[in-house]
Amino acid sequence: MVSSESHDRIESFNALVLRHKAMIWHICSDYNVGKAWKTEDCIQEVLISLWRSYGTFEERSSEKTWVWRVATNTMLMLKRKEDRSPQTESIEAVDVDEKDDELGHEKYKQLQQLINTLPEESSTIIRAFLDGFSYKEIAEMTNSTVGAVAMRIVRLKRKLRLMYERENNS
Amino acid sequence: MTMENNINTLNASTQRDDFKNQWECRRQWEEQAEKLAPDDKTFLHWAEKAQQDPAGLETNVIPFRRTKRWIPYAAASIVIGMAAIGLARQGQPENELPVAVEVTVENQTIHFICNNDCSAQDIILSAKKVIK
Repeated sequence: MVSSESHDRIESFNALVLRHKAMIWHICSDYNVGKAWKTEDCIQEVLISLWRSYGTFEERSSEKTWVWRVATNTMLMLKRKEDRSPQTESIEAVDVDEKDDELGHEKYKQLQQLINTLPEESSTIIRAFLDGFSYKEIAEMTNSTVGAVAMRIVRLKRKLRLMYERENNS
Repeated sequence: MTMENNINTLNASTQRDDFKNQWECRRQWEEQAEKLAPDDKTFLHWAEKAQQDPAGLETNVIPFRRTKRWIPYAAASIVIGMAAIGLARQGQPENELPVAVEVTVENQTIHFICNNDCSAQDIILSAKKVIK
């Protein structure tokens, strides 16, 4: 039997998931450009991670920041694991999500793929910036200083633009 | 300036614009994500499954995750041979518990337990046994 306390906890977790579902989808999708099926698997892994660490959320950071961090860390862990494992394919092949393309995800696909090639820390910083977190929040997330974050973002943007131009020239 | 230089300048300028466009599109992800993310019902279903995870507070329930893939093509051909769309998972080495697997065959969904380190082949073989 589920106690009232447990029931409240479950309800509150479900509400949190719905409040941040777009962001969770977006983070998982960015790490799996063009692979809608894989995004779904990753979302489920992220929800498991969120549930596991739900008790440790102390509201020292904002809820959004906490969800972002848990989701990003889960994705990094999955990516590391995938890099170590032999490559496998979906039984439904690599399904290009038509809905995805219609709505314009295609527009930043190349940029996203380039971000995925950056070292972990750099890609995390640039994603956080693009997701609208302030320099201060990013500094807290990465145990850095506001000045250092600002400088890295300028450099990373420049680097990405050069990578983009180089790729399109070749 | 030569024709070639003109073309190069034009290309560089177009690429800068393309990059800027992608950058701006990426910054405006929220509206798009709202449209593309699975619906509330799907998310709540996944949240419910996540709460059955043994590392969560609730439970001794064997984890059940609706996870579709990681099946190599060799195994996929067996699934297709069975006229099946498989929903299965390959075990995760770091997960020390057995995993529950769901396979849907001709609209019939079956569940069974696999060892944490089972391969896709094991999953398919187990599914075959259950179906027979």
